[in-house]
Amino acid sequence: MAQDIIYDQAAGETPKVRNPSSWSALPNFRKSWPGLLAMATIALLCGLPGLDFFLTLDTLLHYIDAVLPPIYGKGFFTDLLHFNYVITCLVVGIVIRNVIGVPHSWESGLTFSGVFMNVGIIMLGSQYLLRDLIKLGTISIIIMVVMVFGGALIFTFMGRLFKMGDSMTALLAAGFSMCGVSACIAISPMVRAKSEEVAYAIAVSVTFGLFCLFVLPFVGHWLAMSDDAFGLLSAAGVPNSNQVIATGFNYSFEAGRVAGFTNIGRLVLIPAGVLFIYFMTLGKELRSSSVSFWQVLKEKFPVFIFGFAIVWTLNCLKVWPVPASEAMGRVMEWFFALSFVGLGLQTKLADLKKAGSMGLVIGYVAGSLRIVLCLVLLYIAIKMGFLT
Amino acid sequence: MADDRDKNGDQIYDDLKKVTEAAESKQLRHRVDEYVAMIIALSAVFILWFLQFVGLY
Repeated sequence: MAQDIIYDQAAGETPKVRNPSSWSALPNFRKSWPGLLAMATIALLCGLPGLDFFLTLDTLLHYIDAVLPPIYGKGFFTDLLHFNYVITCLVVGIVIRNVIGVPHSWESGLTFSGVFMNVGIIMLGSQYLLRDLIKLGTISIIIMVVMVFGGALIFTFMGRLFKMGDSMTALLAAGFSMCGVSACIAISPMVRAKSEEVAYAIAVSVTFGLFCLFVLPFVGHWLAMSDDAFGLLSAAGVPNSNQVIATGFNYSFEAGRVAGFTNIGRLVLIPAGVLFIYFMTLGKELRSSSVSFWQVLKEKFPVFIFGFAIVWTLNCLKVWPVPASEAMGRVMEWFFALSFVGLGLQTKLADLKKAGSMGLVIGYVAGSLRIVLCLVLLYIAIKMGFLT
Repeated sequence: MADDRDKNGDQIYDDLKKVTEAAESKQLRHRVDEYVAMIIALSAVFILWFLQFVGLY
């Protein structure tokens, strides 16, 4: 990393070496504002929940549904395709990126979509009470533990079956079992992955997540899944955190709420999951002696979860009344909408080609197996009375 | 033959270094993003609570 050399005049021009602040990792505002403004404008034009803005795509789709004759008694966009602000923001973003193109000046600002997602997750704490933890805590922890470690085992088995190589197997296992892109990047130096392998694994997990985002809600409606069950399915089955939230909210507000809450459990499991995959996939002779549990915990633990815990605790203590909690829920949806637009604007469909046919087949087969495993777990939980 | 092996070894080392550097910078950005998100979210929660407290909605 580059170091700044500063000159201290009082010390007689003696050069001092100073490490740059961590904040320098953020792009500056001058570079970021076009992308941020683009995200906000597109989100507003797509139709933000709770804002009665007339000129939105959402209003247009409702108008078309009202004008067109209904299909099986249902509106085409709103009822059959389940178009809502999540899908609208994502689809518009994807279309702009892949059909029209995104100006280079937007790129820097678009990287803030991850920040908005985290803001939304922290504010999600205002939508929970202690009874939610009691209701969903045990079952979500069990499902998450089984899915993270079971998913890693499925990928290890598939990797050995198709002779994928240790590093590639570890990258796919991390990408699918935990939180997609971040997990791939986190584990890449530990398993000595090549740069093209990292790009390949990220492409497979992102495209599978995108596939889940559009397909899983239809599966959920077809199986008549409850909001709680679908929220758990999205958190456990979809690879990337932002896609988890989008899939949940694409089904219903309640499912999105559950998906966000359950996803916290998965994020907490990242350090343990990374170590598990590392020891499962790499042979003894390839392991480094410098990898320790505390080092991995310190580096990979998602600290923003403490923000969620603070907001959730304040909400449980009823520090603010219900109207404030509702307003926080609304603002949370706006932050999610911003991040969905950013996610769409960063989705390059050309990545499907980058993933290659073999990678796609292995990723999709193993990813689908994980979803089947999750559906089986949910079925057992429903039969045992843990879920409705 | 030995030269080719050295060259190949250097390439693998360079690539590994590149991956490690990319992972480090992305993890740093990820960490900073988390802090920024905490600041924005907690400020938003405080502002919304305050506005409700003073009776604005």
